[in-house]
Amino acid sequence: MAIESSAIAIVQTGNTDAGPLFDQWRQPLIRYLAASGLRRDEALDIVQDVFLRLHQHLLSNGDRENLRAWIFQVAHNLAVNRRTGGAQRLSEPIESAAQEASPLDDPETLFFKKDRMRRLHTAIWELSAIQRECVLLRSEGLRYREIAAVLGIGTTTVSDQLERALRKLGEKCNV
Amino acid sequence: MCDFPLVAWLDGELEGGEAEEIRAHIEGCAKCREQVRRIRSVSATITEYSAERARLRRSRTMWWIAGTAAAAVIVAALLWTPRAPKTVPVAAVRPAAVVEKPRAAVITPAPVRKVRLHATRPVQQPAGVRVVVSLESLLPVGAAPPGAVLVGELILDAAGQPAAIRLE
Repeated sequence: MAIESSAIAIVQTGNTDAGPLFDQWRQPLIRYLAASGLRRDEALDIVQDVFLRLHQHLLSNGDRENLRAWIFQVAHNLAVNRRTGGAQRLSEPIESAAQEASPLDDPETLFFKKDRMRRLHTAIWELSAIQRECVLLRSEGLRYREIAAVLGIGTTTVSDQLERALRKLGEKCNV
Repeated sequence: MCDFPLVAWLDGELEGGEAEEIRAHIEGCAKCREQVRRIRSVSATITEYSAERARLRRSRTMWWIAGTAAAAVIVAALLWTPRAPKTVPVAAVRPAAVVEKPRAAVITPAPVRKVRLHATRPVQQPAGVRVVVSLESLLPVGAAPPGAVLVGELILDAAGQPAAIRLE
């Protein structure tokens, strides 16, 4: 999923208001942080922290060339600190398919949705941490060079890890 | 087994020559076409998964708030026992000709104090008590943040019966 670049354009013309950037990237950040194991309240805390830091970064004329990667890198680092500081929450199962059911879904469709999500959840948490991060960042539309910047690895490593991860997930989820 | 970087190709991360080589290969290779189909399918499922996780955590938070409020009301109702004022007959010293009804001394309830309750041990509370309930004792393991408590006040009606609990 691509992230709109109009907010980046606002920043690159010298406007230091992080507000439009917050509107554009708040939801992708929340999704990424929730999928990587944080609770929603923790994700919201981190998102606020990220945009406060972005505001400071812009005010102090920080590098604006790749703000999307910068934002996700800050979020990633804050999430790592939060996770290492508290209990691991890897095993919380996903049981939301019934709660979010479309009124058009018949019971069989619901069952397969729930089953597919459960298998994917298990398979994602069986990946290595690097593979999981690559998969989740790719899911939010980041390019490989951006993922590499977020995780502090090379783009070749990103490509290799994604190949392995997505093949594994495809096999385990039987898609 | 073909060993092409199909994910990078799908993501448009390859340079022109390499991308064209893979495109041509896929046209003639059923296994790679099937692999591309799987990558697309699992990618779509991952997007759905991330959205579900973000929604799930929000709905679970709302459930948690509603559930713990309801649990606190139930616990407070089970633990609170109305205490009638104690009366102690007092024998008055009077001349024999005059017999008075024994005067009852009323023990006033203890001042309001904060009490920490444990869900498995019923404790009698004086009227007008503030209750503090540890959520960890009410909810499944890991469902409540460590140290989280609910603080409330039992509201009594004119007859001294519990009428409601006000959570703070």
